[in-house]
Amino acid sequence: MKEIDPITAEVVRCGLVTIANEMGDTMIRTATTPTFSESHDFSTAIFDGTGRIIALADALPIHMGASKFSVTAALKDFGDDLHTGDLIVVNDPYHGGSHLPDWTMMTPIFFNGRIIFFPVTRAHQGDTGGAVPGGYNPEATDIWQEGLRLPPIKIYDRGKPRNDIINMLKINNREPTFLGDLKAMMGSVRVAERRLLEMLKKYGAQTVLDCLDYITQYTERRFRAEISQWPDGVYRGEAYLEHDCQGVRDITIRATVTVSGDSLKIDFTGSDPQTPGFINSSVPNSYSYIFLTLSSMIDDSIPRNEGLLNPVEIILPEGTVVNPRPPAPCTACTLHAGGEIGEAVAFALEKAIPKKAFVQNIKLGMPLVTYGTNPYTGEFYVDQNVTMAAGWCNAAHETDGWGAMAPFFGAMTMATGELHDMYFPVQTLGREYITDSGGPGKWRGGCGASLRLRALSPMFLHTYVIGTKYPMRGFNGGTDGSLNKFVIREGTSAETRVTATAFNEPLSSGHLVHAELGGGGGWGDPLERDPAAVLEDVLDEYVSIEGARKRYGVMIVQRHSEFTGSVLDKLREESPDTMESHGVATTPKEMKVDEAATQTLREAMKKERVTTGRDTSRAVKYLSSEWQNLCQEVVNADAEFARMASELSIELNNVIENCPDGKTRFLYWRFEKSKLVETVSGLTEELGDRKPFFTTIATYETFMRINTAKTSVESAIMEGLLRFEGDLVQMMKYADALNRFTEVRRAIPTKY
Amino acid sequence: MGYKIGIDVGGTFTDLVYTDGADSIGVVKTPTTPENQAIGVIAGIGKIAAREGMTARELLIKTDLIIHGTTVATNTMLEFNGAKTGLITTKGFRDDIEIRRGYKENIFNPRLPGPVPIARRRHRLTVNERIDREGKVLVPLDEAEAVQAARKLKEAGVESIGVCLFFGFLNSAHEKKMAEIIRREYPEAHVSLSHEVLPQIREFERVSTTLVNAYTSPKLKRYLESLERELKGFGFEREFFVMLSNGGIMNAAYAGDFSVYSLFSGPAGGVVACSQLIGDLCNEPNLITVDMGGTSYDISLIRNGKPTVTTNYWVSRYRVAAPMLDIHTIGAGGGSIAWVDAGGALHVGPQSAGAVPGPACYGKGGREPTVTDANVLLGFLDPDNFLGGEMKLDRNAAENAINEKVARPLGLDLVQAASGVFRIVNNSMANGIRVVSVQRGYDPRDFVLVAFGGNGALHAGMQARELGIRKVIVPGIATAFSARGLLSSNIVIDKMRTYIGRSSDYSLDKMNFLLSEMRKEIENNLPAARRTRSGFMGKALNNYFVDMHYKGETHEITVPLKSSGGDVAAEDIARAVQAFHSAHESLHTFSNPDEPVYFMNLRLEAIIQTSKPPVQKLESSGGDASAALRGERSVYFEDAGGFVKTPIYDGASIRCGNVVRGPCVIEEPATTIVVYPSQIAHLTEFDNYEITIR
Repeated sequence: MKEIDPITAEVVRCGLVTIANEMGDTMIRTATTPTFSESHDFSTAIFDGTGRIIALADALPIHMGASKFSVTAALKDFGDDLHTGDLIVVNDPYHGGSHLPDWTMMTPIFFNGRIIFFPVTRAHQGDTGGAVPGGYNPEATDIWQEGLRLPPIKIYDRGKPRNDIINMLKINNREPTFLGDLKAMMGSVRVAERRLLEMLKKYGAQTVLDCLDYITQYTERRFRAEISQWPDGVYRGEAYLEHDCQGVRDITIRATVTVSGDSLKIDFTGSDPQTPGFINSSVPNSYSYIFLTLSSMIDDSIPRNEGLLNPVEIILPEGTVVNPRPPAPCTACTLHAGGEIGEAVAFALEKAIPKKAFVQNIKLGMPLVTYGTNPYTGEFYVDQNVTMAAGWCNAAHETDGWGAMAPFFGAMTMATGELHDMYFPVQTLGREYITDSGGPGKWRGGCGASLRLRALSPMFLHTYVIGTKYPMRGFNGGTDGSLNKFVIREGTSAETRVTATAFNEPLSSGHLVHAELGGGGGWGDPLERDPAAVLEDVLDEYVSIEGARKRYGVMIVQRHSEFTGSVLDKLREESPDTMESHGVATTPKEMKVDEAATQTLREAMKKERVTTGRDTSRAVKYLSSEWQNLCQEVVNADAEFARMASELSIELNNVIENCPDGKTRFLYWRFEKSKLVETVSGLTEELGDRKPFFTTIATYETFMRINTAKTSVESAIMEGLLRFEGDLVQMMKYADALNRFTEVRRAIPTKY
Repeated sequence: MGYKIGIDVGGTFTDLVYTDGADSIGVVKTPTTPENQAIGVIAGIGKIAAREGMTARELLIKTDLIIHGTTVATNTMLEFNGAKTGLITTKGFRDDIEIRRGYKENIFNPRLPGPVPIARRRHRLTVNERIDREGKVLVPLDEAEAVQAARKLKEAGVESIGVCLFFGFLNSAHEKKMAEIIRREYPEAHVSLSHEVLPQIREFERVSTTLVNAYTSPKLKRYLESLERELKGFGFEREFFVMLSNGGIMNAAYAGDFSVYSLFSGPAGGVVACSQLIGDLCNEPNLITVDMGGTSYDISLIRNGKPTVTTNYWVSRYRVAAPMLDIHTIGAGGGSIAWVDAGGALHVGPQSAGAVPGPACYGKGGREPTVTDANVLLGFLDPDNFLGGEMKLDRNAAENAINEKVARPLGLDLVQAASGVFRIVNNSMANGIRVVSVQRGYDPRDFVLVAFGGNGALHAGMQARELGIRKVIVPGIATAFSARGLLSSNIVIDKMRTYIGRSSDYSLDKMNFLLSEMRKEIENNLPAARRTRSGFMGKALNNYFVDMHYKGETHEITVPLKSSGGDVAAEDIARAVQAFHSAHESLHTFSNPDEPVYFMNLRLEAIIQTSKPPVQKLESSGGDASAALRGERSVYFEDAGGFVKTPIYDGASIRCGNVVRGPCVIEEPATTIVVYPSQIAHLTEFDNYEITIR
């Protein structure tokens, strides 16, 4: 590569971003489906001729990364058979797409006989054929039930439309506006074609190619510089998804992030197997979420391009929920399990870069979909209600959660209640924050929202609900946000609380749908939140007085002011109920923080935390000598254990494999007359001539899960995660006592 | 005929342009007084009086009209020092302003805090009431709750109250009742009603616009009232108008109550000047206008003689959906700071050294390298003849700053570094122009570039070349062009009503009723103007427009409905529908003429022509500009291979018809025009420089 001057490279880079944005604007102006034009569910980007991502428009970040696979697939499938004027479309998650509704369109840009660029537009289609309108089929158990699968195909060949193919696509689509949207996508890549050729003519191919190297190397250099400031180590994180709509529950995604020098390895080994339901995340989608998550942890002035990918090695074990084998269905993955993949990475990195780690996730499930005959037009309608999504805003370091996360992370916008009521037979009764729903923390999670709709004519509803068990989680000692809740036909005898899915649920005129969308997780210890900030939150009713006391340890006192207005007194007598509601308090009040009481309360709460083991700030390191001493202290002080152990004398050993540094350690206990008298831990060879009666063997992770009550000893045995050496039958006699020992150990605040 | 004065308050200077109605146009400049803009304004009026050989009192007694472009409302939003504001809204909708349809400015930066609250949640109260989609009352307003809400806000010390009720634009009875209650319980409060501020569908856009109005109005109103009082104290008793963001003017009393309409009061004058004095006068209907000052670069587009208007603004992170001139601002001005980031990339702006300390070469303590510093090193600016010699620039300071902050970190020599700054800023300006042209579906090559402001004419030749633009016009009074525009403005009042219908199913009666309501409102807005004695206003011209879209589309296109007032008929609708199909075709590349078209809003734009100052035509003195040649200096032109000996012309001595060939530099008293190699400039009969690009 010839020496390129940084100024020309910057000029070219800004030019490419401007072109990518022009592509996006063309989409907004020309698309006929509201998901593009109003909600912006599409993205545009420019790739180079080898499939490197060069420039992204400011659109949907969850598409980032995934489109790379589409370009690579097209290059692989067509090889030399790519020509000026070809338009290629792909959607199949096993052939370069991420999920079937997202169609990717691209065209090769030739200059002097070689491909220099691939402008790419990826857009969520209103329909993709398949079993149900709109593409989201919670009943699907294979990908054919989800829609029409397209490997890379040409819809234009050397500038000529392939009408046979286009007709085939058209008759496989329910959406009458489908061709309009396809045209919009074509227009968008063509706009780019014109502009990219102008750029190539102006600078010459070699200079532009040199600039592309410079631009990606620049990003890589800056990303590596950030990573090298992260402490080296192996960090683990997990995230959970309630269900897959097909009965598989508590799906777990495990990420192990190794930071070493200026590179990262992200390994999902240990994640749950793929499931029959549609939450499996295709490889391109998993990549997208990994890079979306990393992107929000680094300086936002670093240009997003291929340079971000180079320092990161990604391992996605085949057959798991993060890399399913065909024909597993995938449609929901752009929300779930995609979001949880990012979440697992964020929680791994929480331990390395607590101030920067952040999770880009929402706990949406699927938007509420209703359909029926629209009394305003007499026509059949499908209402993919995007008015309802609002909630899930996590706090970040030094920043309270705010606003609302719309699908998907803010690039999309929600419809308004008025316009929605104007077009569909529903009445939007309100969408307001829920007091105390934001996860407490030193910085508070954003409040979740309550939404109520009234059906004005008979209709059917379907939805898929998550976030009812696993809310948005707090970071670094912050508390989780509130859970999602979804009730249909509220207040009637047919009231139903949806916990997993609702399909073809009938609603009559007047029926209410009530959704409570969860709050964001907090960041840091809520007992460290500035009491003045808590007071402000109480004044704004983000937090109640009760919530301030119970969750933040802040005592707020109110003085009733001497208000002498007779009208008000009269009002209070007349309608006490209405006045308490919604931001109209009965009496003017003056609130302040009781500093002394707050201090006392916070100290008491901290003390209680230590004894109940919920203190993470005072947590001791697993296997450290402090931890060993605490084990001894708590078990020897426990009367229950003493009773169960009744004069037990025994030597026990644990072999802990695959510790964070990769080594194997032992943990040895000697009980004499029901007292723990010796605890030793070290590398295996340091066990010396101690002769334990019984040895338990498992991985560090398994011990951690047992100690943190994430799993029980019994189920660990059932799963084959625990192995033993010694007389198991004899050991069973001491089971009660040893279970009690496990229980008391769990109370020790421990860091892993 | 008396005097007319246009006053434009900028970030650094307050410009006043005046005419005595018969003779030519005068310009004065005074420093802006940010803490109270009125002081600078009065000082400027004193300066005019002195120049006209009279006292300020004598001048103001003879003055018929003052038109003011002010940044008070904009600055209130930038500095967040508006009124303590409350909101009363329908039960269930307390948080729309915070939920903001889920919009977040930067999804990659979770540490971006929320917007500064202009109405805190504790001051947002709800009342039980409900209007349905047809405007019928479903739940009557709970008046006891309403009284209580008003009292609560009074007790909380809220100064300004926005009222925005669900579907309140379809039936304003509840909002009006609410206003009545507030005025009874708390007469001191300023009240903004959503059905008056923005009577259109989409509750988020309406509540946000209403709250911005509530937040900024008390301050603008106080300012305008005190300025008018001050002027009256000097004997002024005629019309006092304010430039609004839609490019029209309105009387100060109206402007003060609807300050959300004047957020672009400052830059709007320049756009109007371009449309009237370049567009109409020089018969150049398609213009891209750029105003480059010390801190920002304002770009707008004039098509078929009309400035483009948009309703898609966010101002200081608040949505403002009132019609405003589509002015795109980027942080690129003479004071914009050049910096090298951690990865070794050079950036310019958006931070600016402003007027104080200013660019390093100002010698006022600025240490950061700026665009102006680069321009000094490249020879575009003469350190000894800056602002007509009023200010000396310190070349050494410019050198040091560029060396230390740009050249050394990038391993470049001084000239490479300065030229890098020049290229980067030119590039971001060109990309900014692409945003208002290419990204809106227009080809910049079909437009003429008009460059004004202190720094616009130095760089414009580069943007023209980059974008393939063939002609650049630099107005003779480039630096006071915005103030000049004020004197050419008409009264423009925009009204709107939501009307949901379809081309296959609509009610003419309903539409005509809404139009007549809007006409009535305009009459009511104009009491002071109707009584004017100066006779500068013509008859009102009512233009109707309609916002339309195809089924499923959520972006409407505004098309003309009728241009002569009165009632609309079926033919008008049919024509509008046709106009919509073809507008859709040209803007979006396709149309669906067989599909029904959906109506969203009716708009009425009332234009009341004002009498304009006369325009003088210059006589040509022939092409020879040698009389204006002042000398030569070395100036850096990249495509000429570096520094070349370049002729320098004295702008004040150039006569109409004179032609100069690039590369050359024309030094006007307050601005520098650079004619790049292979460009040719001449001074036209309307006192504009016209630069042709080959």
